[in-house]
Amino acid sequence: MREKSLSKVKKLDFSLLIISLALAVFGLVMIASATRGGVKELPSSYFVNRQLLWILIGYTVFFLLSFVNIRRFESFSLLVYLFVNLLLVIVLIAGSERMGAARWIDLGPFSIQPSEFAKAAVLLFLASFFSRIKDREPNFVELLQSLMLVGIPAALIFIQPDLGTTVVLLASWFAIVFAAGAKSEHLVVFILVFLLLFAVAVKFELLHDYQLKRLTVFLNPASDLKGPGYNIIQAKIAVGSGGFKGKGIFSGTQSALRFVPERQTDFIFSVIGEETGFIGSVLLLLLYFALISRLFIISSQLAEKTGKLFTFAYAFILVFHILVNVGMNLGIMPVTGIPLPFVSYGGSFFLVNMICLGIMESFWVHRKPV
Amino acid sequence: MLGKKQSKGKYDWSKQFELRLTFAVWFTVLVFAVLVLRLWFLQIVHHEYYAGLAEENRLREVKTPALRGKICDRNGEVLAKNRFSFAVFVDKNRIKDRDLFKKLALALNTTDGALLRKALKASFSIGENVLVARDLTIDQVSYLKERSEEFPGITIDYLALRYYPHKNLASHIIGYVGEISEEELNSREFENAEPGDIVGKTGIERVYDSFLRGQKGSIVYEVDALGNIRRVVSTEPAKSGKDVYLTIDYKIQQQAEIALKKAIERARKLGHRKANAGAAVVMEVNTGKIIALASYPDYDPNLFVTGVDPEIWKQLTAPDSGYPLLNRATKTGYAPGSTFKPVTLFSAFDNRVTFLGESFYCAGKWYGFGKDWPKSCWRKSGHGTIGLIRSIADSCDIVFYELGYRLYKLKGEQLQATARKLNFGSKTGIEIGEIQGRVPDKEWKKNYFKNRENQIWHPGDTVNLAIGQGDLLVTPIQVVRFYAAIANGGKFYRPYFLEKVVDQSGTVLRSEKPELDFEVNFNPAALRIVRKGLREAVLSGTAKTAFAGFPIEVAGKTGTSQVFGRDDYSWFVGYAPAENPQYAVCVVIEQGGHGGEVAAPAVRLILASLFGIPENDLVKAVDVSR
Repeated sequence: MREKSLSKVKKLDFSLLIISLALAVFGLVMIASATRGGVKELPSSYFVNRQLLWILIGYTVFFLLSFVNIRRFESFSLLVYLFVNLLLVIVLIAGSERMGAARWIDLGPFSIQPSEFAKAAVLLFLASFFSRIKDREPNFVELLQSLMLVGIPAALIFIQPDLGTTVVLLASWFAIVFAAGAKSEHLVVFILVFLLLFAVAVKFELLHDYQLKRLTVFLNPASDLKGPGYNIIQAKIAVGSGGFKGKGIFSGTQSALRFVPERQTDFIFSVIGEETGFIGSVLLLLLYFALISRLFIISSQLAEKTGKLFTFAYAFILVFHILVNVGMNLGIMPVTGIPLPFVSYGGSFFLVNMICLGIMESFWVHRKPV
Repeated sequence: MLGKKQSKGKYDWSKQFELRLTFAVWFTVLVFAVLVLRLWFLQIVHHEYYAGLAEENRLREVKTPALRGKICDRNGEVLAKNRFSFAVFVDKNRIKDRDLFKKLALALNTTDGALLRKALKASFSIGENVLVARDLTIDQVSYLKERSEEFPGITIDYLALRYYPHKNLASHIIGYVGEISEEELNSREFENAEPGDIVGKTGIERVYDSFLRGQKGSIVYEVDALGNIRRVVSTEPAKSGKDVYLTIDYKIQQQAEIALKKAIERARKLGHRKANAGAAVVMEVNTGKIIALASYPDYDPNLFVTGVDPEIWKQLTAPDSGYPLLNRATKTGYAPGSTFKPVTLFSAFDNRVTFLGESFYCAGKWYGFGKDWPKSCWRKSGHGTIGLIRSIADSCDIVFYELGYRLYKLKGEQLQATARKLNFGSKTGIEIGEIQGRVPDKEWKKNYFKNRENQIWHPGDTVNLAIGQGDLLVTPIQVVRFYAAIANGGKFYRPYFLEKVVDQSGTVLRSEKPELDFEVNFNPAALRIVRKGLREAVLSGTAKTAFAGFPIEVAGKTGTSQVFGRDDYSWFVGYAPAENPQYAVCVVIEQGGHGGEVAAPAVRLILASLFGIPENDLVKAVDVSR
């Protein structure tokens, strides 16, 4: 048993561990910097301590999952999926509201964000769903079925409202069906349908005004100086003023003087840009790029379809998060509530990322010898 | 067919997956490339721009006002200073809030209309806040502060306001301050000024504004996004304005103003009911320093400090107000009457149309233009045989008609040339505003009149000019300067007010020196005659009773100028002591009647204070000459 464990440790992909840890520590420092002087009534230590705790929890979960052969529990993915949907329903009924959206379930000192867990649950469930299709492309009916499966939690999240996570779920679905080999013409049809649906949603005002504004304001942030446009402008100023070398960690003015709102969560990249400059920002992007590259390699090298699909889709989701979040901080993407993986303050999101990494490690550690 | 299907239909997902994986990798590379490019663009290419914006974000500069320098007289008596006052300001966006104004009016014991008028005029503001009331009592301040929630948009500030402790005294010299106007902001005159600044609007306040205004200080704060001040980054203390010392003597100024008032009263008592205005100037003969310069009616410059009330402005500028804002000593052109006669005499000597010892005969009428066109002397009975000295002392018109006509016959407009040489028709160079007056000639007449008949210059025009009548216009400052030149032998000094500029530590930054504008060579014989004539006018001539018993030897000339449709204007101008002249003094009383009766006693009263002679009232003079 001991020997078996040891061999498992040896088989671990340490790059995932090291890169994610580097990102988490980098994030922790930036959270400390972003929240110095406190946010609202909360002191900086509140955020740092909590994030540290979540990092510890995250790695514990990561190791647990790594050493469990996830394949044996693949059938549980349906259960997890159902459970997450249940949580999403609960959050709608009894969720605690923050900033106009009910996204959290209070659990004493902590609160969890079921929508974040939905990201992992949906990925795993869909990967499992498509892995059962052998030796052929998924047909249109199956694509539609899978979309329905994503659609339920996506709809529940959409009405919270949380447009960002909704879009992430849809992107996850797209990544999985793309990887699962859906025909190009089917993909095109779905993309067109999405666009049409979006147009309908806009037309019939299913989207809140502020959501629509957030989506378009980055094109002309000066048009909305009291809302998200202000965030974009201030984030750009923060990043741009950082210059090549940055103002130094704990020395940014845009963050310390609270010009950038949400600076420890969605806009943490602006603090990074301001305080660590071009060097730090590019270094961060390189870390991400290394992590994602490694994930693509893993997904290529894994034998089983579930693992391949899951890893691919997860890597894609990371790219999506980085593009949208960093792009938002740089003023080239809409303002959506999409955080920066491993770096942004937020326990649920951090934990979900560690769960996903753990699942992949499990696939990797328990891969069949070639 | 079957084989073909088998070979082609064998679906290999892994291969397909690898293909799509490659696609995903390239997509990822693209995403990261875009982000890095964008970072490069923001952080390297446009770094300076965003760094500037970040600084702008965090730094707030607050200007601190500088105290305006004092204005003092030559002995340090303060004529303009600062006083501190609690003032109420209302946010511009709250001006329509009627309830607020009603409540405020109740608290300040005034009417909401008065407050609103002030607010709407917005003549004094700090940022977005406009002043509605000042000089609050401590009780009013604490009342408003305790109930600050009931008064949204109201701020109370403790301000340094301009204060003129002597009120109307020397108001035409000192001028007043006010909030800088749009025009003034764009003018070269107020170069470092900013909107909302208080600057000098008229008088010394305006002319020496650059000394008086001082330099605003600044405090640079670091602020957060909500505008909360985090710390002070730097401070630059305000530099108070410099103190300006004037040549005027406030006691003499006071006496001059009293003399004007009394002279007007006297004129009215004597039946000149329309007498209502006048001017007085006292100048140092050998320097050009103005010791006093008064104009009546006058005004209280304190009314202008936070913007003049429209009602008061209306009163000050109404046609029946007597135009108290007008400085008659420098900005009104008068016919000088007989005070001009010395000019004619100088011209006559320069052009050799008379000679030392020439004697004339005055029978009360002059027939130079023929029997049908007689011109009268003011003394109907005539002066009899009269020489040049007595012609000045007794102000004989016949002599000057004759001299004027002789000058006319030279056909060269020599009389006008002499007048111009003696600075009539041009500005004296005094710091505060003045007009140049007018010396009429052929050219002027042609341009001035539309009617062909009126355009012709008649011999009578020159003859009238010779006794200071006709279209000639002079300012009191020009006249006093001319008499100072008679006294000092031909030196025309630039009249001036600025004695020195002193900074807060007492260092003299600028000390004004007398400036000799130009010098004329009077014909020595003419100068002797004029001086003697002026002295005799006081001793035995037209100003005899006005100066009877005055211990200082005075030389001077009366004038009683005629203005069409109005009562005669009363003039006296002279200098003292006659043998060693120090001061030249000029008084004109509009519609005051005879010079010897009204203006001369006023000059005596002013001279009395100059030489420390205890006289408190006008003497009763009975000179009815011109």
